[in-house]
Parts: sequence; structure tokens; C-alpha cells
Amino acid sequence: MTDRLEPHSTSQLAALERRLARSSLPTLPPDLRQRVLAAVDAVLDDTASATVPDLSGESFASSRNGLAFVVSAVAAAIVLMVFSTAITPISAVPLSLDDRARIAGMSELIDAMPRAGEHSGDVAFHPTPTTASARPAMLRPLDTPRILQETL
Amino acid sequence: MGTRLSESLAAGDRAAFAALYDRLAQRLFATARTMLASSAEAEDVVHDLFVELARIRERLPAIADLDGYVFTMLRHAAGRRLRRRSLARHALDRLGQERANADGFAACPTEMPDEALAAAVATLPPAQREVIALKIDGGLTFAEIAAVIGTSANTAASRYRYALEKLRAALVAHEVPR
Repeated sequence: MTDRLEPHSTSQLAALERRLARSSLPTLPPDLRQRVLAAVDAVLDDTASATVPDLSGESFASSRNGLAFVVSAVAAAIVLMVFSTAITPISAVPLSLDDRARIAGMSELIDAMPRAGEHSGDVAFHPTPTTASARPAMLRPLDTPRILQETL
Repeated sequence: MGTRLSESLAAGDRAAFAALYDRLAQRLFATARTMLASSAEAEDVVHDLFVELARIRERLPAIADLDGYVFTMLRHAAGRRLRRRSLARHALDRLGQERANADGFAACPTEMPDEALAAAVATLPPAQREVIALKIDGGLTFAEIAAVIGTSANTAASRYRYALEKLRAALVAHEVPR
């Protein structure tokens, strides 16, 4: 790849290139050097680094911080997977026949408990208008001593 | 991989930063001025660029082509300013203010001594204009320009030639009536 114009380019383009080059030599502001180096000094002294905008143009993923973030995220995911497989689900705990019977009795007890809008024994439930219209007055009488005796 | 200058920069050597400024500032300023069509903004870009270099100095020894890296930073900074300018212009348009120009580059003069040339450069699309800036003002080769703008050297050369042809046409149209 040559840095000159292609052979077929006209001399007019070459002349234009020279004209551009002549016109492209602006005078640097005289105080710019001093201001730039003073700002660099400030950064080197760590006095102004916190307010400097990021102009490097490097992507986050390619930077050192980005790489550290990705590595730590992958490590956290692996640890989470290992722990999740090591913990036995509560549904997998074996139950004895007695345990199962007790659980069944408790379910029956819970099913037999009065709901909103129902009346059972000495306890009165005062339903809201909506629940009262949605349910019958009483589904089932509650015989708590009998159920407890069966359960225990 | 890193040059002696890069190592000195990484060590926080103030003289190294001064040397880098003396070596590149003129070309950086000229390139930014053509890209942004503003000497004031070009000053700001050069200033911020060296400050950023100081901030990331520890990474510099790992960079093979320091000059190319610096020009890439310059291009990104100029691009951000152009986008902000474009957004501001659109915001003004929405407020109903009269739009002076159809193109963001043409919104202000290029501040070149050759006024006709400046007007012609102002008509170039951004992609062609940045190649002109990097080639003429930055003094980069097409291979270096390709690395800076992320394209092939052939594409950079083609854009440069198209830009020159467009400039020539614009100058002919501008100067013939005289």
C-alpha cells in the first residue's frame, strides 16, 4: 500500500493535497503546553484523577476490571451450582409410617377448621360481605377433641 | 513490546509526558481541529487526552503502537464531541429554532487560513473528513489510519481519494464564478 495517490489520479488532486498540507499547520495555543503538563502533574499527584473522564475508548470487557468482573461472576455461578446440588430437598427426606399418619391427621384437622363466614362452637367468625356471599354458612361441624385424640 | 518512552510514561515521569506532547501535540491539535472544525474544542480534546494518558499510564507499556493508540483516543474523543453537538443541534431543532446547516460538520467554519478550502472541507461527510484529517494533519500512513479507524488500508486510501475528488469538485464550483 503506497501512501501516494493512485497513478491514475490527476495532478490536480496532487496539487490539492499540497494545498491541504499547507493549510493544515495551525499554531498551537502558546499556553496549551503549560496547561496540559500542569493537568498531567495533577493526575500524577493523584489530586485530580477522580474527576478525569474516561477517553481511552477501551471496551469494558477488555479492560482489566472487566476481566476480573467476568471471572468472579463465573466463580460465583460455579459455587452456587455446587451448593445447590449438595443440599437435599426437604421433599426427599424419608418419613416413617407414624410420621405420615400424623401429617394426615393434621391435614384433617386443618381441613376441619372453620373458615371466614362459618360458625363453629363458641368461636364466631364475622365475615366480610364478600366472603359471606361467596360461601355457605357452615361446611362441617368441628369436633376438635376427637380429631386431636385420633391424631396423637 | 513497550518502548522506553512508554516505560517512562508508566513510571509517571513528567519529562516523558512533556516529550510526548512535544512530539505529537501539533499533529493531534491539527487533526482534531479539522475533525471538529473548532480550534477551541481541539484544544480541549488535546488537553483531556494527555490527562487521560496520565491516568492510564500503567497500561501504556503493553501497547505496541503508542502513536496509533493516541490517535485512536483522539478520534474517539472527537467522535463523542460530534455526537454531543449533533444531539444539541437536534434539541434546538425540536425547540423550533432555525437550523443553519444540514450537516453537523458544516455548522461552523473549519478555521483554516484558506477559506475556500475550509468551506470545501466542511462539506465532506464525517468518514471522509476524518481520513483527510488523519492523513494531512496527523501525518499517518494509510496503514496507520486503517488501524485507527478500524478498517482496511485500501478502504482508508479509497476514502481519502474520494474526499480529494469531492474537495476538488467543491473548489471548482466555488472558484469558477470568480
